[in-house]
Amino acid sequence: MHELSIALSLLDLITEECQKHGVERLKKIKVVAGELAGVVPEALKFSFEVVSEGTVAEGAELEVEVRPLQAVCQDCGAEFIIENMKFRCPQCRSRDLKRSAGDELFIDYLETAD
Amino acid sequence: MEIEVRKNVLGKNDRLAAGLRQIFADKGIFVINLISSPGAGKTTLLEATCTRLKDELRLAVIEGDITTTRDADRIARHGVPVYQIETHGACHLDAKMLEEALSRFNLDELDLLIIENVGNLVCPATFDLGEDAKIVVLSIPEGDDKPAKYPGIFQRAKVCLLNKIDLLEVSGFNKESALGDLREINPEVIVFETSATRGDGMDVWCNWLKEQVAAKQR
Repeated sequence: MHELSIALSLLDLITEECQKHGVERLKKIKVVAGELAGVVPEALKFSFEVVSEGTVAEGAELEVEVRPLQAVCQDCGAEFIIENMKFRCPQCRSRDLKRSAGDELFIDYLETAD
Repeated sequence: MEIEVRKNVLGKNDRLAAGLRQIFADKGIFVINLISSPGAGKTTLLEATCTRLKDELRLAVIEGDITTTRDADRIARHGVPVYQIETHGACHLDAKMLEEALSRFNLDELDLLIIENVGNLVCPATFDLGEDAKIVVLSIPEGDDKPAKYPGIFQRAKVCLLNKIDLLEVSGFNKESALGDLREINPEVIVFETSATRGDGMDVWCNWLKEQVAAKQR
């Protein structure tokens, strides 16, 4: 249940951004979570609903986009999506890969209510 | 109105962790973050590690547990400095908790810091503690399907300790299948087969730790 800690960090960041921009009410929050970030969207939404009560984000929609794992092959240079956690280049079968996406967790944008 | 943010949700933790990583680099302390399910034998493994290394390296242990100081008491019996973080329900350690715990130690007199995370294969994987290596412990009785079921932690681990290897024959654990899955998920992971109670593999594991400390202090 680390989604609760994540929801609290999320709320801190949102509060900060809203203060900076003088926003009083939010309609939507868009979060991007890599497949490897270990975030269960439903659990995060539920936690966020609880922690955002009485704040600028109360009632706002939280959209969580889960992005797949990606890697770049260090041998042939191919960039590809890793499916089913199989770290192998689909072109040259190399296992010398560098992860290029999939463990990110960031707020993409906020949409204000006015 | 749409406000573009593009900021890391765990930025605060990651910034704190980066600060800790810098301190560990300045002080030449090699730091491991030990992660496993409950009951995989982390504490027994730590006791066996402390026994072997305490005369050669300046060790300290930080124990993360939801409640009770049982694990810390076990380590303290070996005469190794230990501090217990009770997370009071939280399922993982974060960089803030670790930063507070570090004030209990004299960092100028340390070579190796071992952090035993809360027993959990999911949540600790997400929170950077500034460590040099995540070490995942997979014990034989847990079953050979764990790497495939919890890829997040197995992907991020530098080392996987296949612990309680003395139970291999009686457990029906398919080692080939587990290691096959593990290599698919993380081609670079180093595997040591250990039995903390019988002693198998403990010298190889401890030698690896000594090499890492030496490399960090070079």
